[in-house]
Amino acid sequence: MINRRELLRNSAFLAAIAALGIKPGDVLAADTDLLKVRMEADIQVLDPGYMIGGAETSIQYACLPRLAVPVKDAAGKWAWAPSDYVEKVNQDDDTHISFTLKPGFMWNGELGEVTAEDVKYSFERMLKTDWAARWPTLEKVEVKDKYNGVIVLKSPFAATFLMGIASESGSVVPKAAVEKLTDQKFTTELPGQCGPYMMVEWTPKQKIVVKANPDWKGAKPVFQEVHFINIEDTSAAELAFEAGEVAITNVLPSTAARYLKEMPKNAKLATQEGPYYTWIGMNTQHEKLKDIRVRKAIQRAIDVKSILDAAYGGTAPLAHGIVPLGVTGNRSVSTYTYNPDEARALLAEAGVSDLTVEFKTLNEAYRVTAAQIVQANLGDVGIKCEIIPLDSGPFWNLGLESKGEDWKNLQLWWMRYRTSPDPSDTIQWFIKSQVGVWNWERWSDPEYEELWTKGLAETDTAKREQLYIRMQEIMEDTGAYVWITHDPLNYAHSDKIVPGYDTGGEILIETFKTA
Amino acid sequence: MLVYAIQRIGLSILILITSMVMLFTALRMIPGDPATIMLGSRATAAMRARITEQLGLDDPVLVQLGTFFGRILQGNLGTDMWSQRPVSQMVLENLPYTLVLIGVGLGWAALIGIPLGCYSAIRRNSLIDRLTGVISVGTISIPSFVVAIYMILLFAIILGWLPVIGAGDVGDRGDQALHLIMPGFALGLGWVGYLSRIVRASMLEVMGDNHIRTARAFGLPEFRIIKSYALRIAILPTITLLAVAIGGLLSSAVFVEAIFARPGIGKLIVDAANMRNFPVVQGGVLTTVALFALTMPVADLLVAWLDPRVRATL
Repeated sequence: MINRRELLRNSAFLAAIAALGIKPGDVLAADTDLLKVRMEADIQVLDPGYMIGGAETSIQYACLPRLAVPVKDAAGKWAWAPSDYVEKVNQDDDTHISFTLKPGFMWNGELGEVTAEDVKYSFERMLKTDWAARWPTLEKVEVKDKYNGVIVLKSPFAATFLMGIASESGSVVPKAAVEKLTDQKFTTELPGQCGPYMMVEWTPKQKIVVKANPDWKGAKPVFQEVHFINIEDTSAAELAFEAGEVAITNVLPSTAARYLKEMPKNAKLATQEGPYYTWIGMNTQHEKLKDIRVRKAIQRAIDVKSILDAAYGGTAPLAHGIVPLGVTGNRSVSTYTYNPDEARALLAEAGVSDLTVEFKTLNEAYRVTAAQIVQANLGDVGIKCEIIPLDSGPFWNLGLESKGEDWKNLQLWWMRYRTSPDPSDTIQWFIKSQVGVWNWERWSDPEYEELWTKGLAETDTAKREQLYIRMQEIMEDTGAYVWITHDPLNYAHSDKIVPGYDTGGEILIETFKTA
Repeated sequence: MLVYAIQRIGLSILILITSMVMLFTALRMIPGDPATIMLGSRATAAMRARITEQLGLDDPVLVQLGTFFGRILQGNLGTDMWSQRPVSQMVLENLPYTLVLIGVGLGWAALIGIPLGCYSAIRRNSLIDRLTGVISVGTISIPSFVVAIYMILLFAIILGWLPVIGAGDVGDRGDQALHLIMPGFALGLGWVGYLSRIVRASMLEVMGDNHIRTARAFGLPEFRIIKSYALRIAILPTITLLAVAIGGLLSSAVFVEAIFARPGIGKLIVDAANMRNFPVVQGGVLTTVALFALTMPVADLLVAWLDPRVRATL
């Protein structure tokens, strides 16, 4: 969210660069003793059951065990692989996943070895937490012996690995320690650690220090000590990067565009596929948009390429659906393109003239920029568009029937959601039961509902791919969506390091290498 | 004097209570459901229910207000929505950084601004006076965050002389001092001009007083007249101004804290407000209002103590 003051500050920053004619400097070279990385928000809750995200995810991966880790497959899609902690983890059938832990992985303190009991406790407790939705069909974990167990599902769920076991929700916690805590929850202090790194220091609002774990039996991390430096403002983080105080930070799209033209010395820009999907939505039940020809005219009237250039500095890819890049079900083509003539013809066919629509968006600079392009595009085909920027409070209530009557007058809006690397998570917000909740477009389709149910149980990747692509075709055919982008995460980093990321685009320090 | 002191402190308490009621009301008037805003589009029903319960949002507003004041009277500022840490602990962790930053910013501003104001008054209409006037107005008009950005570009990125991020390593005074140079300078620059203008105006007024003319008639050295008879009186409005400055800087320091990624009370409040973390916002604001409310009577009492003319009117 950018406000007036931030806009002034960012403008001042750009003006300063222009006035001084500054070219990006030489960034700090990282050595293998100490790596400093930017942390956007301070940690709040490290407990996988109540976490928020960001650096918390990075700390969980670095300091807590898990059975599997996310990896990219040969096709560049997110898949999973057994972690360093296991001899094997295997999907025996649709509802049973067996695992065997490697012996010798010790919790710190007097907590002993990581056991199958810890896994059972960790996974089953998730069912009572805020993130239970990540484990929708988990029934129980059967412990066979100290190192062996079986995860039992009530029904097949294809995303059990990517949304559960191999994600931050699959972090294993020490049963003996967590059971002693009030409400069996923890926040900023890990009750036990076993990972390539140990979190040794946390200075609130300043930094977290993790050090390589000398007792770690898995692959040794390259960097011996990592400091997560808390810099909330991204423009400030960019300055810190250019001053050499952090070796990696995510950067704003405008900065990414600037770096693409001229990188700081000894720096690289990495564009990471993000977990986001952005689109322009239309309320199919609104009087002005009831006619599908009007919606399809709007689809064709908006020049998404111009939006990507102006609002994202040309660094974001064009989307053809909601399932992000790198996730099964990502579409590579749409059935419509920018075509103002076709839009005018559709409007004429619908007998619509003098149409005025409201376009609502969160009051963030890039979204308002995009809205202005939409306004100009719609103006070209004879639709008058009024932009209504909103703060997050009223915006997030717009389509919720439980929060008033705003949904009745909702027409067009700019929307961005975040997803796990499984299409079922991406697609779930558009089923019939979500109308009036998060399906603000307010449509439903029997085929879509049927495919939704099928998709949850289907475990064949190729079949799932087709199934979720078809669901997005159905969405597109409603005319209620103008696909915009899957917002990439742009990281500027020292060329002395090769960073690694998780499925949500968070950095995974234990996977970092030297270049 | 005692009655005056009691009156001033009473007024401060009233300001504090009024501010807190206003803040409490304002936070609840923000459109939207706090639980949904905090959690965003991916909020599950369980998450929303937990946050709603934790914040007591289902209670009548008066009950929430009563609970809030009840806690404060017990010295309990509440707990962070997410980390469950005591807000008072978070405030105590952050407040010293802001106070030190304000101290350094105002300190150097006073060190430069007051002599500059005196000099301008003594050498009225001279080239230096005119130059000081232009520079003063210039520094007053430049926002501290603009100064901060230019300083970072120059001293951190181009020259690489000064650190840009954070407050320095805990326990390492030298490192912490180094990390204070740029933020302190950026924060205080505007006040250099402001203080110099105020001192100049005040000095010019005092220099025209009868006692100064008498001192000159007795042939006292000019330096002694300025130091012992003019500046002692002319500095009094500056004390009140510095108290106001502390209040202003408590809020404006947030920009500098954000740019230099320094911890601080302002940044703590802004970050919490962005996440609708009500307990932290309330606790942080209560602390800053309390500080400001405390600073003003202290300044008034100081002026009354220093100036017999003010004392005589009490």
